[in-house]
Formats: sequence, structure tokens, C-alpha cells
Amino acid sequence: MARNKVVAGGNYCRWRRKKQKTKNKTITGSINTSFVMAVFIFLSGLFYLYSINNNAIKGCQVRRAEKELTEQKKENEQLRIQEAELNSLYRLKKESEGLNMSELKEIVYIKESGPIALR
Amino acid sequence: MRNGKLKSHKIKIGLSMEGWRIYFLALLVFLSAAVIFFRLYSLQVTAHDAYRSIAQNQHYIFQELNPERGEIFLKDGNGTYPLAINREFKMAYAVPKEIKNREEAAIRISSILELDENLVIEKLADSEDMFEVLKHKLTDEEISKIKKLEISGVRLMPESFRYYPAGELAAQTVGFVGSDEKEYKGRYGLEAYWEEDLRGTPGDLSQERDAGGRWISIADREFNPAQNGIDLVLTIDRVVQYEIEKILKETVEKHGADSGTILAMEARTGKILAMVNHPSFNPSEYSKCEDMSLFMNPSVSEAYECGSVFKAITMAIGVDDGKVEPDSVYYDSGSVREAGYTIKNSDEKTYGEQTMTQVLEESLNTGAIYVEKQVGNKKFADYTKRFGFGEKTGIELPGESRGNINNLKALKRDIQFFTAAFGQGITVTPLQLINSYSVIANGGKLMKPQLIEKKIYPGGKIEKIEPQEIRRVIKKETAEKLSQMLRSVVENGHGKRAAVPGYLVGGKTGTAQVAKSGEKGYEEGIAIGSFAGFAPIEDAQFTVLVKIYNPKDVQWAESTAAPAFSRVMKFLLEYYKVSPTEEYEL
Repeated sequence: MARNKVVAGGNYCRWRRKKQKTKNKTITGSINTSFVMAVFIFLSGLFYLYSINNNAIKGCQVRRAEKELTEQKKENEQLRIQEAELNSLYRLKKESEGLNMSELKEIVYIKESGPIALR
Repeated sequence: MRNGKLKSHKIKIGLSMEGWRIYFLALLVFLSAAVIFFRLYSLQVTAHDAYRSIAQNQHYIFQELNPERGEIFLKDGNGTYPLAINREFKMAYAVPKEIKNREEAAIRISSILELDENLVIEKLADSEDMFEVLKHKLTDEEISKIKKLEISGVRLMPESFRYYPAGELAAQTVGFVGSDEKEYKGRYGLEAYWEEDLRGTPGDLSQERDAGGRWISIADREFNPAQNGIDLVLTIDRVVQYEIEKILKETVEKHGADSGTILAMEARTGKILAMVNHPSFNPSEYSKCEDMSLFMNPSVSEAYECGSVFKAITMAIGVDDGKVEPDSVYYDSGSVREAGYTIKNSDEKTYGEQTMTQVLEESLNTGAIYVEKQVGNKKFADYTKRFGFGEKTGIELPGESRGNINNLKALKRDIQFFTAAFGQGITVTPLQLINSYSVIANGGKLMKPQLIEKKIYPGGKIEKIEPQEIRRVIKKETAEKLSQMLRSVVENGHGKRAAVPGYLVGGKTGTAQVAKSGEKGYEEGIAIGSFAGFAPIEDAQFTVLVKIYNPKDVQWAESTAAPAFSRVMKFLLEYYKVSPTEEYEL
């Protein structure tokens, strides 16, 4: 808080605000290099840790995805084999015999000679 | 003086004692150095490779990368069907060193895996042994039981084997992959012929690793990727193959025949649509097959005297050479005498004046001899070769036979040419025979029989195989005339039972005797019935050959091979939606 002082005249006196002395301060000196290096190393360390951690997580995710892909491929292959086995005509023939289905003996082609009604 | 002498003597003695110790010490050092040097030499020079290998094994991972074997597919409509694929199975193995109670473990393992108990005990006997294979290709049930077993030192390992999901389908064509005591490789059929392409090229990986055995990702790495094998797509259609296998099996069983072969070919291109042999085997279980001769493919490897079915070729030669026409007439006296032999017609009848068309209709041996005589031996031999007999067709299958037409080399021995004119005395393979009929069917061109439709390379590149013309054998007009003559055989001659209602079919029967092996003459009571033909006559799509070996109930091919031909051709025409050209009654 600026201090006031009493100014006395011939027949008066008054308060006058004390003039403040202003000083232009300039900070001089050198920055401590070791400190800067320490900060830099610290930040770099943090960044390194972050990167390593991030890479490790990504690596883990990639490995998991690759494992999943391999498993999916294996499963896909198994299904493909299973499909081929189920589609085997010898197997279908055997299955159809078990279902008492009769074999088609003759295909008959009808000649279209006018309107044909089908039901 | 005396004292002086004594003193110097003492000194001498003192020096020699001291020198001995130094020498001893030096010798000791030298020996130690020699031992160390020798040891270093033996470690670094003599055993260099062994230690280098141990060190490398500690620091590097070496792995041979096995390529995936290419697969084989059949055509299935517009798609494909896997005929030969790679399947992962489980193998059970033991580490005897880790098993505590080996005898008890052996008893339990042998009961689960259905193995001989003593054999398993023997395998587990060595307490230092690190690896013993117990059983390959475990079933799901065996896998689950082994997992439940919980014996330390008994483990499962995945291994890849060839698998044929269609079972017996096209077994002799595809062959199988098996071990020849050194390695697993294609042993028969396409698997053997295309071994190099299907197998691919192995790769390898070399990578530095840390003390924990983990890969060092930033370290040097040598990686040569494995090159997988190519996939093959065949020209054979799986439905056609299956249906014809069914027809052949029924035919063979119906007539009590020993075996049979049916080939179906696209007449214009030479593409094989079906290659069927009976009996057959399951390539996934080839080790269970007791008769190893079943692994061979008789369609390409079994040459036989085809009999009268060859008369169509003789007639084509006569017509093409301009010596006879379909309506040319000759006189059949019922037999021909040559070099002390009498050759008669198969039915031992005399027909008198006959046209060339009737020669084929009635299958007259004398008529075939007449045509051969008109053409002359040299030309007949040349034409026979041009039809592809006596040479390999070049089909992509192992064990192809050339057949044998050596009897046509001796140009002065007429008798051999006479018998060859009706298909005896020379041998041909079923594939050569059907290919020669395709010459007549397609207008006179000999095509290379084609089994591979396309190759698919690992990168996805597709190589489509184009049909390949070998040469023109006969003129187009000759082919047309022969087609009509063969049509007449089916309509009026011995081939009536080969007819397909609604279509014009041409073909020829042949009932051949079977030559004795190792001696002259023919087997009594054994015959081979063949029928070769094509349809529709006006624009032939399919050529079919049926061969039935040693039918027991009937003698002639018109009762065995011709009806089977009719069923096969009918199926082909319907399956490929070829419109009927003739009116017919049901």
C-alpha cells in the first residue's frame, strides 16, 4: 500500500501521495545447463517410457490379433474340410439310403406345344 | 689352494641344484602351456564346428519353413470341389525322461491308442530318451482321452497330412502322397506326376535371440520365405466322375466282371471329363489297401488288344486313303487264309456281298482285312501311328504306356496286318483308343488329352491351359462319313444297346480275346468287352469308351459295354443340357 505524506504550506497543509520510486529491474545471469539437461532427460525419459509402453501394448494387441487370425484360419480350414466331406457324393448317397429316399430313374422332357398349366 | 678348490666345488654343486629346479619349473610351465594349447586347439579347431553350432543354437533361432503343398480340385459346375487337400492331424508323442512311472503309463497309453503294450513299454524304456512318437493321425476321441490322461511327458503335436475328402472318387487319377522311407511325396497319379509343382520350395528363418530364448527384434534376421506349391484344377467334373463310377461299379457287379474302365472326353478339345476305374481304393487310407496293383491307373497304363472296336480306325484309314467308300462292296466268304492261318468272322458266318457300312454293322473280320489289303501295309502302319497308337498321348499322369504296335514294323508279314485290322496283335491303352475315336468325332484332329484345366500359383496368378492339337489325321469329309457309318452300327448293327433315345449316337463294339502272358495264344473263356462312341453325331460333344474285363455271364460287348455306354452318354447329354435332336417315344 502506497504511503501518503503531509505537505505543510503557509496556511494549509494537505496530504500528498508519496511519490513512488519505480525501478526498472533487469534479471541478468546464466541458465543452469545441468538443470535444463535434467529436465530434458526427464521429459525424454517420460516420452521413452510412454513410447515403450505404447509399443508394448500395440505389440500385444498385434500378437493377439495374429493369434486370433491363425485360429480363425484353422477353424475356416476345418469348416472347409467338413463341408467337402459333407458334400461328398458317396456320403450323400449313403445318407439318402438311410432316409429311404428313392433314386431318380428317368428324366422325362415334355415338349411345349401350347400353354401349359402347372400346379 | 685346497680350500679354494673346495669352495669352487661347493659353488658348482649349488648352481647345479638351483638349475635343476629352474629347469623343472620351466618344464612344468611348458607342459602346462602345452596342455592348455592342446586343449584350446581341440576346442577351437578340432571341435570348432560343434561348438559353433552349439553357440549359434544358443544365440540364434534357425527354422526351416515348410511350404504348403498345393491342392487339387475337381470341377463342380462353375465352381470347384477339393479332391486333395492338406489337413492338420494330431500326433501323440512321449518324452520318456519326464515320465515317472513308465510301465504304468505305457499300459494306459496303449489301451487308449490301441497300440501293442510291449511296443509302448519298449518305446518308453530309455530314461534319457527325449522323444518317441506314439501314434499319428489321432481321432477326436483319442485326443480327448490323451488330454484327460494327465501324464507328464505325454503330449500332442499338430502335423499336416494329405487328405482326400471325396473318398474313392477319382482315386487312381489323383494318386496319393506317401512315405518312401525317406520322405513324404506323391507316390501315384497326379500327386506323383506334379510332385515338384505341388510340393513348393522350402524357406528358412535365422534370427538372433536373447538369453530367455526370445527373438531380438532389432537384431539381424535372415528370412527366405517358403514358396507354396501350385493348385491344380482338373478338367474332370466331380458329378460326372461320380455318376460314371456308379455306372461302372453296377456294370462290373452285374456281369461278375473282374474290372472295368470308362473314359469320357470332350470330343473337340480332348478334355477328360471322367476317368473311372473299378475296383478302386480310398487314397486317404491307401495303407489299408492290400492289392497294390489298384494304385495303378489302367486307363493309361494298361495296354490291351481291343478287338473289333479298332475296325472303325481301319475303316477311317481306308476311306481317307480313298480306297473304299461307305457303300463300297466286297464279297465276304466267311474266312481269309493267310500264312497257314484261317481267319474267320467272329460269328463264323458267311455274309456274301457286303458294303463297308455293313462291315462295321456286322463287325466282319474279313471286311476289315479287305480294307487293310486295299490300303497296303505301309500306309496302314503310318495311319495307325498318326492316330496316336504306339506313342504316349502326353497326358499329365505317370506310368503311361505306349501300347505296342511292333507287329506293324514287319511290312512283309501280312498276317500281322490282317489281325491288326480288327484289333488283335497290337495293344492300345483305353486313353489312346478314346482319343482316336475323338479324331473321328471332331472332324479329323488328334488332340492331346487334357487333364489340367488351370494352374493357380501362390500369388493368385491363374494359368489357363488351352487345348492342344497334335496333328490332323484324317480329312473332315472322312470323319463325317465315318460318323454316319458308326451311327448305322448303333441303329442297325451290334451297337443297338448303346443308343440314347432322342440323340444320334455313333460307336462300335469290340469283344477281344486276352493274350496269354509269356506264351503264344489266347486265354480260354476270358474276353474284354469294349464300346467306343460319341454323340450327338452332327455335332459331337462327348466321346466315351467303356471297357469291361472278363464278364462272366455274357460274352459279347453289346451286352456288357454297350448298355453301360448308353447310360453314360445319356447322363452326359442330360447333365450338360444338350438338346435332343430326334423325336422319341417314352
